[in-house]
Amino acid sequence: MIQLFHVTKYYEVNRPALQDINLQIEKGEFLYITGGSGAGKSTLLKLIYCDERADEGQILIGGRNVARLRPSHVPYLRRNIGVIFQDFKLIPRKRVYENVALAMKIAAVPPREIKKRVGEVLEQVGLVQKRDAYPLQLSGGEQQRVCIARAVVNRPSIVLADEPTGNLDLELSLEVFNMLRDINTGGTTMLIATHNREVLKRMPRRMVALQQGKIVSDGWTA
Amino acid sequence: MTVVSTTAISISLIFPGFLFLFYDNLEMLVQSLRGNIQLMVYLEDRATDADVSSLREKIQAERGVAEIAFTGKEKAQEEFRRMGIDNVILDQLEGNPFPASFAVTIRPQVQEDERYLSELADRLRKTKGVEDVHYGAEWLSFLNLFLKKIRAIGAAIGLLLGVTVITLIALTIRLNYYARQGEMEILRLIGASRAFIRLPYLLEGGFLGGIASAASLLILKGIYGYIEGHFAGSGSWMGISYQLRFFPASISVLLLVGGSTLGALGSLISLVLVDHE
Repeated sequence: MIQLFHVTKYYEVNRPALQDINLQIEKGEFLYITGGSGAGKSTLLKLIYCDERADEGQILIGGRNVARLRPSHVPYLRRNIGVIFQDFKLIPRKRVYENVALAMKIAAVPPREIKKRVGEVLEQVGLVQKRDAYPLQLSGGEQQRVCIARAVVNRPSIVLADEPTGNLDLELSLEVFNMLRDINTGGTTMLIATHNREVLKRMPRRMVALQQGKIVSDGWTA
Repeated sequence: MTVVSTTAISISLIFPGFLFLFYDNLEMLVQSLRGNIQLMVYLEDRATDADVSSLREKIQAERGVAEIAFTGKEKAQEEFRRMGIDNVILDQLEGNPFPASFAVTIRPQVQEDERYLSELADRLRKTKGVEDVHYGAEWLSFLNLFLKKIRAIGAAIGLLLGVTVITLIALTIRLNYYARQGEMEILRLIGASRAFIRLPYLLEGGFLGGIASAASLLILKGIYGYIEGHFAGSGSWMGISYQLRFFPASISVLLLVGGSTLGALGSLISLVLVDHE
């Protein structure tokens, strides 16, 4: 599903943010990417959804090298990848419903289908009652759930989460991870960048650890 | 900023709009004058019947003449009396001071041909029995020149203010764009194309331009109403009948579309500049 071959990314000369990354992620897999600050977790995800470009190597998604994707094709790729951000990235002047529906509007989904599907997803993340609230009227956990709803509303085959619980306490973090696990159960490939050890312990899955831009381990969480 | 810009654009559109309105009415007046061009051929008092008859034939043979009408001295005096202008003076004069004349109606095809009219007048002036020929040549030439000048000034001011409108809208859109940069980044990250992100800004520019044009049209309509109310909207001035008019619907729509187009152009320029920063 996702394959990385000798991927290297530089932000500074002679100091690669990622170096010679080789990774294979199967369809429907649930994968943690861990490591300390500056290890390259976010960069790895950004390369997959083309927010950054690899300087070397290939990134294949469904057999297509996205590292060489033309800029005009990037939006189409992103419509098939749901991204969950640590800082939620919700539009403050739009209501919960509108924030979630926006991802479908961008994908040119007919309004009737948008209405139906957004309702379903808000139900799934438990925010039906808050559909008319503005993001700033919600708690951090609720905002993250809106972000999750927006990431999955188009039924993407891949969901990337960059420190999705970075701003949440343990209870809310477990709630969010349970939600991600449920989405993964439906067949969605899930890549989660996190350093939340407690969650890693309680929900063991395959884990790729990065250190200074290199993969230092790849296996199941202990 | 949006309200300030729209107001500034509306105000800056009023002056060229007013100039255009003035030009439109003046052009209408000139058109109506052109449509009624007559050569008045005044005869000498000593012209004989044979002279008059020969002159009639000569005029009728001219290619640009549609019809001619003869007015004798007596009839000319009668017509003047019927107009009721200062008959007292007329009564004190000895004899009939009015000359006989031919009113020569010009074919529409040559009415705008100033050279032909001038040559025809010169030829007739040299004919035996002719005292003078009048056809308002100077007046028409003056109006034509005046129209040309107004057109040139209007074009220059229009160009200048067009650039002003584009700049103001570009500035407004740019500020709005920067204010919503965070939103646009989110849109980009969740798969929005450039067109999806930019279309609202183009529409906003077009909308601002349209609103500003509509506001300036309303203000112009108010000014026009005031002028029409205080000075008659129709009547006669120096023997020329006139009828003032506001822009017809087609021109109003054209001005609205023009304003919107300028607005959209301003947005486009703004977005292109933002791209190159």
